Amino acid sequence: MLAEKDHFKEILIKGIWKENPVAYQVLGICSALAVTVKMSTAIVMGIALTIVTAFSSLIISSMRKHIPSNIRIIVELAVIASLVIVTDQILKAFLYDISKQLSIFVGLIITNCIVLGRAESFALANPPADSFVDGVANGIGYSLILVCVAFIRELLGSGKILGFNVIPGFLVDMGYQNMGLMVLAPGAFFIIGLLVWLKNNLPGVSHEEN
Amino acid sequence: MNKYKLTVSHAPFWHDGDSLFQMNMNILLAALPAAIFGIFQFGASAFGVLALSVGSAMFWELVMNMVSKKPLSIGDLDAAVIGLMFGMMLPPITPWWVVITGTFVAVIVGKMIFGGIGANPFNPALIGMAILMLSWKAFFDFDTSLVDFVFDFTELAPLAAIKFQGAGAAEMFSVGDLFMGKEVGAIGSVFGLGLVLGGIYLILRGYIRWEISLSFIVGIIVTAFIFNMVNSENYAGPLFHLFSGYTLLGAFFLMTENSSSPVNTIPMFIYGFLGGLMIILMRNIGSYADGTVLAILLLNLVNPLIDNIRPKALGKGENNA
Repeated sequence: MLAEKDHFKEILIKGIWKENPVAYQVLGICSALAVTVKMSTAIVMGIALTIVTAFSSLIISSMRKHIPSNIRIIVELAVIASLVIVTDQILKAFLYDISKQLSIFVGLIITNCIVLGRAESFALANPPADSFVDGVANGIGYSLILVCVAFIRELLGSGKILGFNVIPGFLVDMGYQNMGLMVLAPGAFFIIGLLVWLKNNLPGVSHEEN
Repeated sequence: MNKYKLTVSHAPFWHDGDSLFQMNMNILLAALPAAIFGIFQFGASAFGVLALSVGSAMFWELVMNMVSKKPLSIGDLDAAVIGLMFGMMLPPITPWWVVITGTFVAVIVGKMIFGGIGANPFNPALIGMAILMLSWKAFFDFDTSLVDFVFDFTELAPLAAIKFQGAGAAEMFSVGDLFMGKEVGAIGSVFGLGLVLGGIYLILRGYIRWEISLSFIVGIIVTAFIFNMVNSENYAGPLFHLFSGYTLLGAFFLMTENSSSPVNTIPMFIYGFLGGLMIILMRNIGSYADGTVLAILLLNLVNPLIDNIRPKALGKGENNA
């Protein structure tokens, strides 16, 4: 039982930190640029992607012995697409405003490299429980970077956190101005680049050391 | 059999025993006339901006040295050069926090992250400048930021004037005034004569290459001349472009930054000429009044490609290269 726990822990750490999908594998950059102007959209996007990745990995992994290898992409896409449509409909029903802001990007989770990447590289070769944990881990890893980027962009770009003003009035009176670059898409590029640099240079995680 | 082992490599081959400290000291010295002129023209606030810029650039390098546990490298004065170049591109009344943010981006993001001195693919001062110009556009409008100053010459930023009023506005500025620094602009870029003298000093001492500066100026003159010839109502003449904005600062101090400019002779000419071409294109067609910063960054990006044009190393065949 203990060994089992350690095993899951290892998969989790690998997905969330060591082989973080955005910072290490550099996947899913497109949506990371688009939905990180505000923290609320980033959080919802992160949750949506975590759910889709986790369940698609689970389903594909439990079917892995029955999928003919030459049509596996079609099967994987069918599973992922159904899950994405369900997620999209749920968002539209319960979080309509945010769903409108996310617009096309929830639908585009289908083409997000992380989902298909985990299905191809992990779920097809591992048992369902492992795959589910791996999907959750990668989803959280993606969300982590997304929320970090969104936090920095929202704070510097519009002076807010989760929609609340956090820049004290006396700073604005002294001449503080928001950083216009952060609201533009290049701002996300810079922030992601710096985060990748920072993560890969922290002691113990650099893949260049060995 | 050959007894000696010869190493085949490409330029540079020769070292004259000069040190980084000496080189940077000379660059600082060469930039001083223009900087001091700026201080006299714009007063104490310009001095404050320059001092803060140089100081904070060295401070950020020190911080980065300590955080990354590398030997302290501020002694080679490279950070001071970055700080001075950066400060010279700023309007005289830039708020202090903008200056500090800019030098942070310039030194840490532009230089230290890429591996410190000699490893930066872009001119660090320009990186800082580009980020600031995109983030806080309002501070870099020379007309509004210098509105409180009283000058005895045309109180309009030359490049913004021709951008918004057409080339006819160029009549308001005489070329001599522009050259002698009687113009509205950044602290270190107004005094054309000082920049030219500094540049010639650096060229004579061998710290920058005349190929880059010369072909840059030729690029500007040729491109601006063609534009002016085709439509002299919309596009100002070559001399106006040469002596306004950041052009001369770019020609002698920014384009020639060591690690982001080519090392071979033919690429130097191409690099300089394309730089001049890009700047005039950005000024005449683009939306920015002065495209120097972005144009030189673009050329820095192209530099490794251009620098592939080099003499073939001896003894290397096509097949085993």
